[in-house]
Amino acid sequence: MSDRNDIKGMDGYRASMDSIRASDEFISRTEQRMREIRDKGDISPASRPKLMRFMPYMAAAAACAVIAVAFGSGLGTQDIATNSIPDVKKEEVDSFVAEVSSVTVSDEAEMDEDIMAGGALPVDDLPEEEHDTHVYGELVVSDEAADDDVEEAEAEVGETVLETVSEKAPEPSPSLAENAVTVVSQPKTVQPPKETAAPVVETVTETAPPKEVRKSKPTEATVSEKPVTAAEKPAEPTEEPEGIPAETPENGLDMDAAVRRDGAAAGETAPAEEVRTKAAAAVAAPSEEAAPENSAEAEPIFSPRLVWSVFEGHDITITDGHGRKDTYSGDYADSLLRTLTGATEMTAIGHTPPADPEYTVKTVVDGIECCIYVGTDTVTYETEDENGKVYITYRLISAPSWSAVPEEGFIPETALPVETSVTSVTVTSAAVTGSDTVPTLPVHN
Amino acid sequence: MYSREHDPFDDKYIRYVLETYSDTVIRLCYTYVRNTHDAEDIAEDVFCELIRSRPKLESAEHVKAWLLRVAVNKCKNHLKSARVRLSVPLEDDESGDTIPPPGEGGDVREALMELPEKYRTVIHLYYYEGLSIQEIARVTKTNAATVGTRMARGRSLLKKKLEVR
Repeated sequence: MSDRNDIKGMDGYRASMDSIRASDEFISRTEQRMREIRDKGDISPASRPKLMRFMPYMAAAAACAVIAVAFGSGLGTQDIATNSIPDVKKEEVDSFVAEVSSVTVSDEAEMDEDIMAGGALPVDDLPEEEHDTHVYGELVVSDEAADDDVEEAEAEVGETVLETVSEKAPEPSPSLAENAVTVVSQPKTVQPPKETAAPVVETVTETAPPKEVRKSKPTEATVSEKPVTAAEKPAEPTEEPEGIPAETPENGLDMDAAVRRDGAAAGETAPAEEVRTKAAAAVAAPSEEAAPENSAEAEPIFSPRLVWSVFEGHDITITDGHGRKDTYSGDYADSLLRTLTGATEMTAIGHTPPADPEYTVKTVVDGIECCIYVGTDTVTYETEDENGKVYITYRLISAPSWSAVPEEGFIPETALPVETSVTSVTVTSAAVTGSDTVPTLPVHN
Repeated sequence: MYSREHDPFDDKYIRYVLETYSDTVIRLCYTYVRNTHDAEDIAEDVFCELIRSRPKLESAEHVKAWLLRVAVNKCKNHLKSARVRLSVPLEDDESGDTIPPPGEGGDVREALMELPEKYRTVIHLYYYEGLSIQEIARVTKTNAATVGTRMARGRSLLKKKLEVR
């Protein structure tokens, strides 16, 4: 039993569930049944192999077919009974068996009867390449047939509905794909300016084939876009939010040098309008165009050319250069920050508030307000749990140039609260070529 | 712990598996079907499936993971079955012989059981069984990120439900 206690009253829940116990009758009944199955084999109808259960129906169907043919050809009952049935029946049944044994249940199939009759086998029993499928008796049932996934796709706007489409699905359900596109492209109340976010929306809805789109790990986009050098080898993703390493490895960043190359000193201020213009340009320009050609060598370690959604009341939806999109909730700071920054490697270094954030993005995720403080080589995720505010600061070890542009919900500076209008912003850059400028947003509280 | 080295699936092993994992499987089934009788029926099928399939499970953790996964599959099958879908649900099982009436713990359990199935399952596995996100993802055959999202939403919903009680 777990001792996790961040929900008040969980002890009571555990005590309540503790009281649900297997009765002696259950133990003895199940034990007896298990022994019978072990010793005699399972003879209950539900446990017979699926084809065995169908045999009577198959035989009946074959017989009906033979009778129909026989009557059609003028044979009499006697002929059927004595001559025709045995041979033809066997042939028909064999054919039918072959057909049944190759059935694959499609996404939309009504599987109740088949699955109920089949009995689930564990995925562990399958070859590695078939792990994304459930096997029910003789039937292979596609993984995305799960109702709750479809419900999710239909029910929640902006959800990661495309995750329900598996690469292994031979042909994604047209209805599912339609649902997915419909849901993710449903307009929200505030639309971004057309010159910035609109092209991204079109790309996603028109070119992203559902078959290839699935919920990707945050690191996949960066890895697939460009090879990661040995020095930038991605770390294993953090499995759980609470799994925070105690030590902080050296990251080898030379931010000062990077800033010098860009011709601007760290801490130098620039007019807000200039930064806004550059930020808008960074959004509008495809990441491939902006990336330096000799990216293998000249790629800055941390080039946060990113703009993200500041849309209170909604999850943060990120669309990458491949049209994939992902939605992140408050619990997944690690994934979220990896995606936002494009970092392939990052290390949690502490639980204290950020000392000197470059800028702050504030949003509400799942009804929980959270902030992301972005420094030159760190990002800090702040949220609130039962015990109050929680900060987790990550040091970005490597962040290949990658533009995380929100598909919708991006609100430029006009959407920020009036009282936090921009007065000055710090220009910082880790770009080597000088073409990449960090878009900065004002700190607002 | 019982060793299966010499005679797998002998009487002792069957007894050991039942005594060790029955409660866990039944509780997980309960979070799906919210009914102890159905939960026991499904759990019985789960254990019988173990004997039928005789999977090669190397450790106690594997046995538990296997049982939980099969339990999840069978519960989903149960919920999808025509019998369940067409039936008019009675009140949640409070006749439940062994379940205490709503009190301090019962309130939380009741609130949790009111959540959609996808949320209450991950919360149960995380908070009660102590599984990690990755383990839950494997048991439920769900993306780990999806499990995290469901956990967050489930917690949030549970919190709201508890506040109004």
